[in-house]
Amino acid sequence: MLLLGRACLLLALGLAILGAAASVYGARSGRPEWQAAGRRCVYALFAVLTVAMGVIELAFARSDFSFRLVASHSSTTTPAFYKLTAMWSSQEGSLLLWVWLLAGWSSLAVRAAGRRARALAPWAGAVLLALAAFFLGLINVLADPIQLLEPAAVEGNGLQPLLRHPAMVIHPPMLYSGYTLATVPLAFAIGALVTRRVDGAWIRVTRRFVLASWLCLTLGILLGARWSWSELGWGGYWAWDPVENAALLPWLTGTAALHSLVVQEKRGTLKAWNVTLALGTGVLAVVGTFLVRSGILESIHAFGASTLGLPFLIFIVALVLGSTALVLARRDVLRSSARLESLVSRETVFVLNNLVLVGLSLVVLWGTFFPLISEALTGRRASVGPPWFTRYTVPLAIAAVLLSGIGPLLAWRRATPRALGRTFRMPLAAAVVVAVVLLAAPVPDAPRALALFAVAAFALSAVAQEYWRGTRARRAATGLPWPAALGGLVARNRRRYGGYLVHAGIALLLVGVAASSAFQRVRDARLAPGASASVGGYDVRYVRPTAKVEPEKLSLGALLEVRREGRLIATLRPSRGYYPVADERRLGTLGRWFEGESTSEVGLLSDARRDVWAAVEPDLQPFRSMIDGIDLRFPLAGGRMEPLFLRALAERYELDAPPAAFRLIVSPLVAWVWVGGLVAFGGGVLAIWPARRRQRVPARARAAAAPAAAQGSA
Amino acid sequence: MEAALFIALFTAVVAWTTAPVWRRRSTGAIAADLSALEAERDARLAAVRDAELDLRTGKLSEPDHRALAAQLRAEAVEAMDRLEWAREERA
Repeated sequence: MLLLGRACLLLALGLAILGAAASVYGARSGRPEWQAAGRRCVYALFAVLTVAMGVIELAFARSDFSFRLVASHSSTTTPAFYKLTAMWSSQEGSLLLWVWLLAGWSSLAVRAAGRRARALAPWAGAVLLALAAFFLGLINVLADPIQLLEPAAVEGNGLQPLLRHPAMVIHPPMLYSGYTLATVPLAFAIGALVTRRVDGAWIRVTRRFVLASWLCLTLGILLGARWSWSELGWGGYWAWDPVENAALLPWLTGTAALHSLVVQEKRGTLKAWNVTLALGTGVLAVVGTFLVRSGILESIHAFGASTLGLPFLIFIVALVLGSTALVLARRDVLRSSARLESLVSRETVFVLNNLVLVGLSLVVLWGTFFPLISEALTGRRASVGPPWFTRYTVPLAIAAVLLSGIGPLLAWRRATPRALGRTFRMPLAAAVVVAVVLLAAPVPDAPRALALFAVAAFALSAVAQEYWRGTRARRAATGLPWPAALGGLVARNRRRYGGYLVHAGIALLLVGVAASSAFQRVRDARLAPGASASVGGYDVRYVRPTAKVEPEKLSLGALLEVRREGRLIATLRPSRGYYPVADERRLGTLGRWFEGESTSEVGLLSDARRDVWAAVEPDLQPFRSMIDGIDLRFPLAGGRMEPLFLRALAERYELDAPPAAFRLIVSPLVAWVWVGGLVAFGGGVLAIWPARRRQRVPARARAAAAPAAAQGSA
Repeated sequence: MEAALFIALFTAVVAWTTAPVWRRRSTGAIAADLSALEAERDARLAAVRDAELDLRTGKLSEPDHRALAAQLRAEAVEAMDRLEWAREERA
């Protein structure tokens, strides 16, 4: 199947290049048959890449170690579930996943545009195919996922231990979907600029793709954070790592775009801003991909040094220069005829929210690339850490949450002081009450966290009030019971009420972030079995050591009892998993288990109020002589003897474990990070869900009926 | 076997993607592009509905809504007129 896979990758490259050329020729000459051929190339590209993906997945499923990729990222003992997802743990395989997703979303976009923005479709298709051609060029020349290994390996290296986590199965496809979906608005923005059609048509096509990209990035970032919290063993969910930031950047500008596109749709303003945001978000998605693959910045999430950096850099520079030149060349059509009518209106808040979000992304961008900037300026590579990021991002995040509460309370176009008094009363009261209670309560001094709680209370009560008032109005108009009125209101105004739910989710998420960052208590302790340590009002007792031999790993850990005021509230089982490396000859039968990678399994008690988190690092030094002795006496014992030796070591550890190093953390409200993220995701799904098709009514009749229709919508 | 599979795939892909060019037949891209005008019409109609919802949720007072709704309806009618003229022109 290797030949078929290789040939498909070459055919895909040919399709992408020829399809882009056919689309441009069709668009320039106005010949629909060439435009149709270009469109078909997009669909065919997806089909051919699906075959290539199928070939690789089949090789993984069959543990076909004549494929170099399979031998280096899987093994016969890798669980079947992880075998099928091991492909994207490699540079080459993940690039193929990237371009496959790009081809899939491009097919959907080109199909949608054929109905709604026919003039832009060939140009957008050409841009998407050119992007695919770049990635397929990299795949075919520098990062080939379908290489022959001769002679075929008897056993593979296995999947990287850190990636054996359910979140890691979905996390990469989600992030890549977010990145690739973000290139669709970029392609249509370029199409709109080339054809000088920067009005509402390109927005109508791309709006859903912007939201879909946002949804995928949201879920991808959340899963990555959850993985970090429960798997990495350092005690956090966000480290301002370059690769984490790479996903956050297009998320921030995409969030800004979601708001500013609505302003252009409703008011016809912000044309230049919107194409710039669409182009910027698309470029940041490619930059994010570049950061993961180039190895230019150190990150635990990156694939390490590679030869992909330079071509990526040239491509990004060309993309930025080309986009900028196009925007400048079209500045005459980008001038908006409409103006903002009042400074107190929803669109003004949207503009302010855009400034805050773009400000946030500039801060993150600067901090992420600071090592390169400092190296270029001073010759010395320096980096900025989490305190630098939080110093600048926290005030902007507070402003963003405040604006997310103000926006829903204002009408479009203008708001009167009387209406403001009516709508702001309750949210303001909620914010004041929360602020007063927190200032009066014995809460540690953390002014920025307290400010965030107050503005989050404002935003949450604003959203609750909007739902309440809307439901009440619909109930009054229709006479329906409360639940049916609420359902009808949301069903008829999905974008609006889905958006409000996103605001509530983000407020909850940031409450969790603020509380867990400002009030977290950490204790590093070295404990012998039977000893205890206190952290954040909890007593943690190391009851006994634990050990378990599994087919792929040896787990050494601890049984911990967590007590509060003497009452047992949880039993935690943190452990460290040791995975063997293949080199038995050099490292010995037992030694090879401790020379490879090891992962942390966190012991976690999680509820709405706080997480109690524990990680353990067993001390293996006292067992060194036993390990070396067995390796010396039984070199290359392997086979049936190895499990016996491992069990003996495990039993010895359980009987006579030396003191182990523990990291114990009590972190308040962490669960709200996940709850808030899921609420925001749910709101996004609600907003993107297609509305039921209404019966086609002649336009005139609709205009006459507009007020009545609006009554129904309320 | 593999080579035969690929040749079949290659032939199918080339035949299907280039078919519109050989047949020189438009595959639906004949009509003039009215999407921008349709988008504008839909946006104006949505604005009328939004204003009504804003009134009912207390963000607009009755007099404010009356003035705004009149303006929005006029804009919606104008957008629909432009779309109808464009359609008549195309027909």
